[in-house]
Amino acid sequence: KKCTLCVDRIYDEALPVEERQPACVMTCPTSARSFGDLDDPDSKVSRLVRERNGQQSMPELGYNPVNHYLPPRPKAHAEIERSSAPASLAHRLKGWLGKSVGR
Amino acid sequence: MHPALSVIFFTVASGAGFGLVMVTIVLDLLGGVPGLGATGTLVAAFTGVILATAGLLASTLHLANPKNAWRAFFRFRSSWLSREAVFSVLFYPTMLLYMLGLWMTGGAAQSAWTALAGLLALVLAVAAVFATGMIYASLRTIPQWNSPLVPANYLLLSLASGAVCLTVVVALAQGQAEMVAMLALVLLSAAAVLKAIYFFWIGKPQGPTINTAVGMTRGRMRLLESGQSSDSFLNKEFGYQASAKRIGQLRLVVYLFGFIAPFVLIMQLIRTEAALLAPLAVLLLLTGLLAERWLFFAEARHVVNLFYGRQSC
Repeated sequence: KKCTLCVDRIYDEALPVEERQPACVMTCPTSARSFGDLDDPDSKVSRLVRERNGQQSMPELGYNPVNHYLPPRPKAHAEIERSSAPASLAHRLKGWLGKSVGR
Repeated sequence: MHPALSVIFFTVASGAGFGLVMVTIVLDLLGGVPGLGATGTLVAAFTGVILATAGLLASTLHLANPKNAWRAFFRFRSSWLSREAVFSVLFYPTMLLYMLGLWMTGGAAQSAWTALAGLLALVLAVAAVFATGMIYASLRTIPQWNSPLVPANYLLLSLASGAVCLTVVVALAQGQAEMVAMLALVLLSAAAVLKAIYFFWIGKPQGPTINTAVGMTRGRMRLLESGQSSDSFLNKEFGYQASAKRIGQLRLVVYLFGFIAPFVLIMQLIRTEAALLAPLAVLLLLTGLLAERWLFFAEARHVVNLFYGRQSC
């Protein structure tokens, strides 16, 4: 069966506003999905698509799909910030080994 | 795309049936089928209707839920399948009227209302075959099908197989089969050329690639893990892959059995008037057409395959 964007949830007046989203958006543990009105230029999703260069899949087919995909960003900030004290040699060696062993 | 045998049989049989009707009516409108009288023309028209009906009935075999099939008639504005169903159903009363006219008046040349009924039936038959081709050509997600060559192929193969079937009818009725046989030769040659153009066209790379599907257009991409441990409907239905060797063999079958052998046999029929060459030609032609339709499905690749490892479709 095709995805309906949980149409029964998004228009349900009995649900609180923050729960009027598709189930997949609410359940995603990494918050990888966002739901909103792309026709409204000030909505959260419109701003995400504009700022992060969201793209449609296979636009050359001319279907103009509504869902946009946000490209991956550079490495997360957490990795860029390093702790003030230098890590021990053993720790740095383990990190280097982990990065250099390919899939 | 997974070739469905019932759809293959359906399009070949209904194509031949509608084609036989088309050729018979056109020749009748132009003054009468050369080599056949009114009875013979009626037999030819009736054979066409039988073939088309066999095909249309066979098409119901590919439905998973046949009790909902009646709903197909109510989406005429947006669905080519619906248009095909409507045109096929409207074809029957006009064809019945034309055959009645053949029986009562002797042909389109003798009576205006027979000619009018014949013209209507002809238009509906052409529309039905065109709509069958457009069902496939309207899909932008299958690059090998998304072309005007597809309905052109359907129409031309339908006309060619119809003309060869009419040659059989004239030959078995022991009439002068030369004119109809020459028409069959011309249509077979045109169909062979168009088929060659189609094979050439699908050989070119076209359509989306894995880069446009995933959005990462800079650099090469390949699928490492598909994330599923067993096949799904998408894999089996859209991911059907025939080996290149099999495809090459079947293309040879299409040309040898479907075009070259019937051409040679019908030329021999014109020269020697051995009536039994015609049924042999039509048997070989239908074998070739079944192979052609199987290839039409097996060589088509849906863009969903880009998410299952293909680099391009």
